[in-house]
Amino acid sequence: MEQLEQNFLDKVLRFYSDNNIDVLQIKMDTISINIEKKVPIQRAEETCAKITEVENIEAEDMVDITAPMVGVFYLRPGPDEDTYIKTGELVEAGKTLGLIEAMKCFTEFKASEGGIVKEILIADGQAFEHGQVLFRLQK
Amino acid sequence: MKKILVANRGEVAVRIIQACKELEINTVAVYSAVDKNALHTNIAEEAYQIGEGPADQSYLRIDSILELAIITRCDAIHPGYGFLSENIEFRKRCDEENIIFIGPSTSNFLEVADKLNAKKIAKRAGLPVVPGGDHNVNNEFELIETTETIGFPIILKATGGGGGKGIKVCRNREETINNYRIIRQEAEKSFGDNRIYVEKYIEHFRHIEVQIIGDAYGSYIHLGERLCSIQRNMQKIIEETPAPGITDNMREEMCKAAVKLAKTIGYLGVGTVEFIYDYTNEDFYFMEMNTRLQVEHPVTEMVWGIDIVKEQIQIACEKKLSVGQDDLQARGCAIECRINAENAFKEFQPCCGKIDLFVPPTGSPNIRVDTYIYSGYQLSCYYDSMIGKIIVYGNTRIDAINKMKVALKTTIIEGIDTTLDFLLMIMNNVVFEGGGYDNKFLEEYLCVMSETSVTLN
Repeated sequence: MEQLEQNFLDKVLRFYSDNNIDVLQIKMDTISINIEKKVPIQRAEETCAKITEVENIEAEDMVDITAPMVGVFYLRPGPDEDTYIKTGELVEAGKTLGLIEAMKCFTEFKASEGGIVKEILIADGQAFEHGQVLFRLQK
Repeated sequence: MKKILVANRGEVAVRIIQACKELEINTVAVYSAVDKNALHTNIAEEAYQIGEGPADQSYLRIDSILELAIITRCDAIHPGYGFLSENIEFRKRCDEENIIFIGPSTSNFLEVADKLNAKKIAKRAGLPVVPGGDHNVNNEFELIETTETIGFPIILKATGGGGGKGIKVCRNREETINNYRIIRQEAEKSFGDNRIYVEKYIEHFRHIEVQIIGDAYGSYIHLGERLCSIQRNMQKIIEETPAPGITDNMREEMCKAAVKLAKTIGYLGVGTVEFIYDYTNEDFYFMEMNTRLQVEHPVTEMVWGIDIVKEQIQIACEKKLSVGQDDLQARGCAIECRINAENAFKEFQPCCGKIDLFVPPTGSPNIRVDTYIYSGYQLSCYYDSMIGKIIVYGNTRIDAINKMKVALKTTIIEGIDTTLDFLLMIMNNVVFEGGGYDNKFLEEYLCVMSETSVTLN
């Protein structure tokens, strides 16, 4: 089934608590989220931007880099080396973002589009499935 | 055995997962991007997306499936039927990766997956085989030579084929040459193997197959025969057991022959030996052996009281067969109708789209439904058009037929075209009721249907 982005869920919960809502219902495609107050929710202590409308996670300037297959992802060329990329970095299309291991073969995984690395959604040595969002870039 | 990866989709994936649950084995489901909301992904303990919609980008992706089985620490893979179930490369790779393949051994595969080889082995085991070529025809010269030796009508078959694909009947030289060229290409594309052989085509026959099971300790049982003569484009539509119109003697001979073949090759697991029954001359001939679970296995389960999928999994766990031949007794009759998302009145045009409402026939003992559809499910167009099977059990064949009529009438599927009405028409047909139908029945029936205006009640 579709996985909810942790980020998105965070944003929804923040929006819910910041705006003192009693019941919030969101329907998207095949997912529907329903949040109801059972216990008074404490306002979030951290400073964060007030969200006045739910952000569309498919905002035009963001690109999802998804996995083309099943495998294990490595963010660095070797255990003692630096990661291929870091958040905030500007990458060109074709830049190696990491290594994919499948059936004991390693292949370089390259960016299909260029942009600023906003989110790295896969951990070093973590397994992934086809279609899973690995990186999010801002064009 | 703690975890099994189910390398399939649709109703067979659901079937396998249910059997695993009863055996308290966890399952890993795989799905393509278009199958995200398929039933099998919901009921398995774990589910992962392995590729895009088209089968060759998902369910046939050997590397991805094996990789996932390793990552998720599966003990075994159940291939279901179709897809990779009879793929020799996949079978070998499972050995290489030390993953148990729920099915026969690699050497069983090598022996009988090649149809020509299977025939040779059957002949050596003393089974009667379909008269005809016992070699591949590599060019048109050999083709003509072989054809003339056998005599028309002949049937061309892809040596590496299966599931009714890569087969053409030819009644004269011109047809033979044309069809040969076509099938060679088809075979190359579908199976990656363009070898063709030639057999005598028996004009009127009944397709009778015998279910066998063998364990790793040399024990074998047969679970009787199934009659599967109602086919459209070599695809079975209706199956039943026991086969009406054959003597007990004939039945026993076929079952014995099937077990003999299985024993000869040391077959492991669940398999089906297919025969051509020439009812005019009361002769039967070995046609081919299927080294996998069959779609129509439920009719056998209803009549023999055995869960074939559970048995299959247990044997892969190196357990003994749970019963011996002497413990088994067939009881009553069972019929299965395959329900397809097709418009039977528009040349069986396949249909996809949202299933607005699905209500299976319920409230009656001995009606079984094996399906993966549900109300609201979006049926995609990438896969087989079979959306489910209705199986009924009756004390007599007439009981079973009547029960099937009620089952078909009370099944509600809205939003897509289905063959429910068409199947009901066949159930009401007097030739079908008589049980004397053969392989030509459906062809003739469809001719009549297209020539008359059909009204449904």
